[in-house]
Order: sequence, then C-alpha cells, then structure tokens
Amino acid sequence: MEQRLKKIMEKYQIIDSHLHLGVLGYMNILGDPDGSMLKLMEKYGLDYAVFSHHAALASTTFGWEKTIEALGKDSKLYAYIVFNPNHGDFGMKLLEENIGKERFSGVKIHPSWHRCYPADARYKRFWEYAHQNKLVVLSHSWNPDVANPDQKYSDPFLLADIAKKYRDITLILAHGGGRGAYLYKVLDILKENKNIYVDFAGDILLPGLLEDYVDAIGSKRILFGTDMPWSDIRYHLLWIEGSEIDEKDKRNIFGLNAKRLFKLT
Amino acid sequence: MESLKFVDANTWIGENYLSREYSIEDKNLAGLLGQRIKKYNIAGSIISHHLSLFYWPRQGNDLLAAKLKEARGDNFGAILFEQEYFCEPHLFEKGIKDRYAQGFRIVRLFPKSNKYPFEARLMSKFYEVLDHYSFPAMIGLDEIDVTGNKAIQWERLADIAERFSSMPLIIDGQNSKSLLYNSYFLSLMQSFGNIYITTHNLYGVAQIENLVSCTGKERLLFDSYSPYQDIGLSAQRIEEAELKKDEKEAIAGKNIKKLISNIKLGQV
Repeated sequence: MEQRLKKIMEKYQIIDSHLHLGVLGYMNILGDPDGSMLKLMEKYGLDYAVFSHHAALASTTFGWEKTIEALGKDSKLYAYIVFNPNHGDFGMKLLEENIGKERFSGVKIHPSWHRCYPADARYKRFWEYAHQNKLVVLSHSWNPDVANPDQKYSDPFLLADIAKKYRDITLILAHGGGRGAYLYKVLDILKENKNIYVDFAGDILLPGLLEDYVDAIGSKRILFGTDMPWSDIRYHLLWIEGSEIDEKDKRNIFGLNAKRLFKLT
Repeated sequence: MESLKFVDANTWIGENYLSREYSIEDKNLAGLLGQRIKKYNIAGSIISHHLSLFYWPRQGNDLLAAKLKEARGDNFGAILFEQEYFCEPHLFEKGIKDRYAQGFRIVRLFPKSNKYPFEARLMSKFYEVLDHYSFPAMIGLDEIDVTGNKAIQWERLADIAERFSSMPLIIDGQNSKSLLYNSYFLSLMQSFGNIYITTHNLYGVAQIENLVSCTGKERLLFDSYSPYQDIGLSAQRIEEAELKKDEKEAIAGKNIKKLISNIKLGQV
C-alpha cells in the first residue's frame, strides 16, 4: 500500500478541499489530530489543503482565533471562513473584513450543525453577499431520510434551490449529498446547475460511484476532499487512484479543479 | 422575610453557537457574578462553559480555569469529563486534583453528546476515584435518554449510585420532562442516599414540595439552568415554595455547599 500511495503523491498535484482542523468533544480522537494530519499531508505530498476549523463551527470568536492560529501551522493550509447564521452579524463582519485576503479560499456553511435551513431568513444576507462577490461556498449536504433529524437542514435539493437563485455563487455540495439513493439523485442537481460542484469527503467511498459521476457530468466539478480527521486521507487517495476513470480525470479530481476554483498557483 | 441566599448548582457561560440568546459573555465573569448577587442573591455558582460541551471538554475546562481566577466566594467550576483519560486512566486522579486546585468542584458527564460510556462497569476506574474523594458527578437526563423520547436509562443510574455510594450523583433535569418523573426520582432517592436532583425543571404542581415531603430537604439542589431558563424564575420558585425556612435554605444553597465541603481534597 505504501508504494501505491507513494506513486500517487509523485504523480499528481493533490489539493484537499475539505478537511477540518481542531478536535471535537464527541469525536473522541486520541492523540494530536492536527499534528497527525499535518504529518500525513507532508508524507503524501499535499500541495494545499483548505480547512474549516471545528472550533469555528462550534464557536464564533474562539473559532476565528483558532482558524488564524491554524493558518500559522503550515503555509499549505488555506481556510474557509465559517458563516454561522445564528450569529449572522459576526459572520458578515468576518466576511467583509477577510474575503479576498490571501489564504481565505471561500466560505463554509453547515446548515445541519447550525440547525438552519438554507432558505431561512438568517442566511439571506449571506447568500446575497456571496452572490455579489462571486464566492465559493462549501456546504455540508446530506440526505434527510436518516435517523439524525438535523440532516434535514442540509438537503442538497434545498441547497440547489439557492444555487439556482444565486448563479454567481459556486456551491460545493459536500459528501456527494449524503447516502444511498441521494448520491445518485444529486447527479440530477449537478447536471442542471453548472455552478454546483461536489466532493466525496468522509466515508462515502462506494465502488463505482466515481466512475458513474464522471460518466454523467465529467470530472471538472468533482473535488478531492477527505473530511480529515473524520476520514483518513489514505482511503481517499487509494479510492480515486483505483477508480476506472481516465488519467486526465484523476488529475482534475486530485488537484486541478481545486487549483482553478480557488485560484491557487 | 429575609431573602434566601442561593448557590446555583448549574449555570452556563460562554457562547452557544446556536443562539445569541443563549450565549453568556465570559469576559467579565466577576461582573456577571456580582450582578447575580445583587439581583437574585446568588452568592455562588457551579459554572460550566459552553466551549467544553460544544467544542472540546479539555480546552473548555482550561478556559474556564482561567476565568475562575476572577471568581470569588462560593463560585466554582464544573469539569466536563475529559475523554483523554480513556487512554490514560491512571492520570485521572491527578487530573481531578489539579482541577480541584483550579477551582472545580463537580464532574459533569455528557455521554450522548460526547459519545462515551457512563455505565458503572465501563467507567469504574473513574468513578472509583470520584468515590474515594466524595467528588460529585452530575449527569443530565437528556444525556441518558436513548431515544430522545423519555427512554431514560434509570436502572443504569441506580447501578452507579449503588456501586459508588460515596460519590454524590447529581441528576440535572436539562430539558427533559422532569415533571413526569417523580416515581423514578423517589425510587432512586429512597434507595440511594447519594442521589441529588436539580430543581430548575421540576415544573409539576407542588413537585418540589412533594419531593421534599417524601425524601427530606437535603436531596434537592437549586439550579438556575441559565441561560436556558430565567434565573429569577428558578430562584423565585424556591422562595415561594410552601416549605419551611430551613428546607428552603437547604435547597437554595446549603445542600450544594455541603457536597462541596465534603470533597476530601481540601488539603490540595
């Protein structure tokens, strides 16, 4: 396995567009997850990694401090600014002060975490701002028909309605929209909306899924995302490398798409 | 009538990421606590920090430890159980002693939110330490409600209380329907002398009075559950209770102070 991973890192430019730094009480991660991730990034030759800090999802001011602190850990790290609609004034201030600055690549939203539907009034000024400023927005997305009731807030079809209304936003649907049949329903969304991208961050590494997506929409709107520390990068590297898609598609997914989208050099 | 002197067994500070309304600024803890003395005669509090729950217990506890330096009198911190000890349980005893020295007096368990066990058999190495020092543990009913629809694991609470009888086990009602649970409360309190119940959501008609009449004045602990409940409401309910003065005083503050003073770490 080590050899396969070594070949991947030598062959491709790799940009992780969806990971997290920091810990979370309910994750129960042992050791030093940030340190472990940075070591993995180094070992497997990641060119860039765009993160949202767990603390920034769970807290505004403290989360912002941790985001800034994390950027100092490695020059390959770029950050999403987290917008929490429950503390909208703070979020808008962060955007206005920081969007456009180097190493802030876009905005992360998490409707399930923050328990707020995308069309809720609390998000409205954010969508308008993102549209006016042509922002890249990474949103958690998941199918609503699961035991966790909070996933209903991140239904990819609700997010698609937003992307249709605000065409200058580039919206990334994280996790391919969730589980089961939704992974394929999301393909219809992607076919209809050219401003929507997708990643398969997390434990969504189904055999054949990547091939089906590339067949249906091509490879230019599929991003490499791991969701570390929730999911180890090694699974993702091997999943993409082992998929039966063309070499050029692998290059797009591993890094070229993110490089273009986030304007990385 | 002279107003009661309260010690709040359960109050939260810090930002709640879901709501500004439920966020309590932590920059001036001394000022906040001073206002509570003035307004409600709350002379002390056991304080938990939202960051410990919503982000990471250890970091939240550390943050609160720094804040506690500003606090005086009967103001203490609540440790949210730090899962790092699952890897190094032998360090738990020292950890508790260190936190005690920082001003913490209760360990709170959030097994559902933070995904760890609370059962006696699985947590015995930690409960043994708490039991040894008579260090109180607090657990919320929402945290042991399997379905979120009143499927509370009462038997497991009983098991903990029975096996670790020197460890005060405080049941925090959180947002549960505590008004429905008198039979469970009474059964637990009558069976085990180390079970205590917070008062903030004992909403049932005469529920506080009835529990006192059945189990005595020493088993209920006033808590505001601020910011999730109005502090004045919680305090006034005790002030207005149809109880004797000594019973109200016990619930308002003496009971929790007694639990704190019974912790066998005073020399640390």
